[in-house]
Amino acid sequence: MTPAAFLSLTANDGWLLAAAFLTALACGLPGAWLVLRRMSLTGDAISHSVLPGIVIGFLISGSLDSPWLVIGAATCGWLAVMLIDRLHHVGGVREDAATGIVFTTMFSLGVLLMRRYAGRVDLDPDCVLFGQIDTAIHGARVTIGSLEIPGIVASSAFSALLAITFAAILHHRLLASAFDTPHSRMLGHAPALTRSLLLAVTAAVVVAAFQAVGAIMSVALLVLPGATGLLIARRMPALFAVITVHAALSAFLGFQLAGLANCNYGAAVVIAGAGLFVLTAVFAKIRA
Amino acid sequence: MNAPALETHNLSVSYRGKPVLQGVDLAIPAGSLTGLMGPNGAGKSTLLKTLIGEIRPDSGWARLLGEPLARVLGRVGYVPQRESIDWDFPVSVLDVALMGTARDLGWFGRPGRGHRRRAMDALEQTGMADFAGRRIGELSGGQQQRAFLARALAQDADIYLMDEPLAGVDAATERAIIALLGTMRDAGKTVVVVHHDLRTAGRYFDRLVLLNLRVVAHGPADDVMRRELLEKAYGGKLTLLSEVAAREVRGGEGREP
Repeated sequence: MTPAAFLSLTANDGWLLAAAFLTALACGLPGAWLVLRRMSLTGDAISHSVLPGIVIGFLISGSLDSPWLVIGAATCGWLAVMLIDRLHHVGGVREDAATGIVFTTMFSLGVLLMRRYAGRVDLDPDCVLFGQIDTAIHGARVTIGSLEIPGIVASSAFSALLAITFAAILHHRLLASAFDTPHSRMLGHAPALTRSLLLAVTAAVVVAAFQAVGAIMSVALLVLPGATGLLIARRMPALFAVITVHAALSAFLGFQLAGLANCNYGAAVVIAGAGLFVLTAVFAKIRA
Repeated sequence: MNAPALETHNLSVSYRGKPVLQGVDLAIPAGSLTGLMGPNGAGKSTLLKTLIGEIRPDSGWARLLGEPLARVLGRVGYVPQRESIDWDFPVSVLDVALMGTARDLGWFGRPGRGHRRRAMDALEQTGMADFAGRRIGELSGGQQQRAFLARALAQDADIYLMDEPLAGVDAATERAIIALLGTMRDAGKTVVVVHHDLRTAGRYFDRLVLLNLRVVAHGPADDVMRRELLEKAYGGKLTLLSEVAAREVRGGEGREP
């Protein structure tokens, strides 16, 4: 008896769970570093700013699985961070105000592009804004070896693989630069480059998260796992363990919730993740 | 050996058009323990941050170990002000000390047994070995400073720049830290420490720099701890000054034999 059968899940349900878990894990890893660096708002800014890039990438390629989307998104994410940085450091605008101005403007631009051209091409605004994982799971399949898997599972697996590789290989650089940037620079560790790589990986995982939870909710997947982990983890390995468990439980509980409430699976994953965060906060408070 | 370990020439820094440091010329000899003193807002932290490249000067230059900073990265140890650290960070005391050993790790390297041993040795020296597994947020102020000193020791740098390592520590820790700084100096390291307390400055340091926008005085501690120089640096803050003066009159009470 397979685990899926034990939980009376269909193969399709299994793919759905896998896609949601992998997406949450992919976002949670770079997201934890954003939370640790007090850059959650930058995560929010990136997740919204990539929208015009995704739309333009889609208009160029005509497909949601094209690498053009990642290229467009990463460019726009980078552009947003640069603009915020310039406005703050050169223009003298407060950083939170600069962030608020830049990402809403870019998001609006994305919405405008989408509404303007959505009619001509097959780009569903609801899908981009809120995610349609339930529909996407039935989309194009890719064949890896003898296995035929839904495209969205493949792209979320790729995204998770990128995030895990990034977090594992650069762990010590990420840690040193997040904990004490000047010290990290004194060691010759190029903390500015580490930070740029973190933002680039964030932009990349957000693109994958778009299909699952959409532009508006993807920031939740970036912030919730790390924020939950920080409530109880005493050291970095524990933090990453909590992130992994949080991603898995969010995917599973969200699935049950979506079934019960007959609602969008992406939104249910976010609600489940937020519920886990609240439970953890209460637990941490009681234990303290 | 006579080349200064730290040298600045005409170093000027401003913040939003307001000068913070003006024409700072310094030459601090290698193997010395120097206290950097001055009233609040005198530019002490700014000077340290400029030396480590955190702040870009408007004019002038700084050299560490006879070279521009970029060439001696790794040989310069920095202990930040306690307030600039996020104490909620999920790292242990050992993790912090280990970060000091990371200078020879490449992009993909990770600390091995040798690094771990160096970190533990440093914790041993700072009396923090028993707290190696403790999360940094659970330490007292003095223990936090000692954890950062251990990180500096583990780095085995040639020059150390420390921003108020004695702030918020108890008397016993203060003595232990000063003894440790002396040991480092005796091992040939150059140590520059931002310090607040005029009452202890004379006996803690070999040399003192009095800073207030400019360098008011710089030299052996005894030459610098003079009323007219202190008055010049501290200006109107007379209560503090008269307290120090009173101590001097009473025959240097507080000065250990």
